[in-house]
Amino acid sequence: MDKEPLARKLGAWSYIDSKTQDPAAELLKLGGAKVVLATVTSGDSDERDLGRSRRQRKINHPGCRGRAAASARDSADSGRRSIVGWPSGSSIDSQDTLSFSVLTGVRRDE
Amino acid sequence: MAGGKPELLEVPVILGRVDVGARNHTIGGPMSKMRLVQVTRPNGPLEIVEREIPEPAAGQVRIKVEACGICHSDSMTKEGTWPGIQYPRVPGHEIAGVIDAVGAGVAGWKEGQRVGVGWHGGHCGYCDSCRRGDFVTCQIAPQVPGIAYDGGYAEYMIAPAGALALIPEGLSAVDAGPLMCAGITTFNSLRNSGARPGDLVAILGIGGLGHLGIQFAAKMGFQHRCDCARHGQGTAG
Repeated sequence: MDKEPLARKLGAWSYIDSKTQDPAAELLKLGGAKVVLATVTSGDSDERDLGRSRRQRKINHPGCRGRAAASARDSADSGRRSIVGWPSGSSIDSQDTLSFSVLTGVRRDE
Repeated sequence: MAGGKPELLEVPVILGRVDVGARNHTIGGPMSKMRLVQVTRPNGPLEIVEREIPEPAAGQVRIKVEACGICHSDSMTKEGTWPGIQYPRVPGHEIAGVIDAVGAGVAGWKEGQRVGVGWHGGHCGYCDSCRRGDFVTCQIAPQVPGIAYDGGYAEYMIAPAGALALIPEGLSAVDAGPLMCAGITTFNSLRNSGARPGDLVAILGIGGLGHLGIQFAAKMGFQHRCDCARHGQGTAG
């Protein structure tokens, strides 16, 4: 399934297919990512996407399980990169999410 | 089914909304029943059963559930992979509904208000994390609906008042539900990530979380968004 049209419809400026491209290299061409928000559950993908750039600083991890921290540890050390877990938030953060979504039109995709 | 994939799709589901049907109840009457979806053991089936409509205790409210999102983490209740789950348990932590009863001692909430409950479903209030205001990392009693107590795959549920989020006008229950977990997790991690408007932010995965993360990143003004799709992998949320 080609996910690029969906990504662009949702507001993506650029799209990288990590099945056929090297995500870290492609991000570096764009100047390096300040943050990689990882929403998949595989550690291997984080290692590749964080990889090898001093300009890619941080990777956030909602919903992550398993090997991510260990597998990306070595590449994180050398570039002063960090891997951060994120456990949703408290009820007022949920309320902020709802308010932001109704103000800006963010909705689930059907 | 023993082991294997979750059977989440065996219950009637309409686009993430648990369709438990429209039925009229006499609240508080002796025969007040509700329908719900429960799991009675790890890897047990999702069963639609009837139970008494519960009454809110002190500090709690009862919610008439209008919609509940289906989250990947619901499979932990279904499969018993979250330690300490007591069965039977009603899954569901992407809840949107209306307060229909308020327990003693609850301030600031009243019947008729539209509210949501998400992954943060309550906290102890006295552990170190709570005393630092970090409720979602409560060390004593982290309460996730559908895991620690019965969640939103039901016509009614009970929640601590401190877990409620007010749903604004203009946001339907079906739209609010998934924002209570998949939404807040991406929204709140992005806004606390240190990225500023104009920064390059990459969203890895376009699933339940990722498809909302792309939108949040765009609306927050991260000038360059970039989405890395990994085909054939599961996504959280």
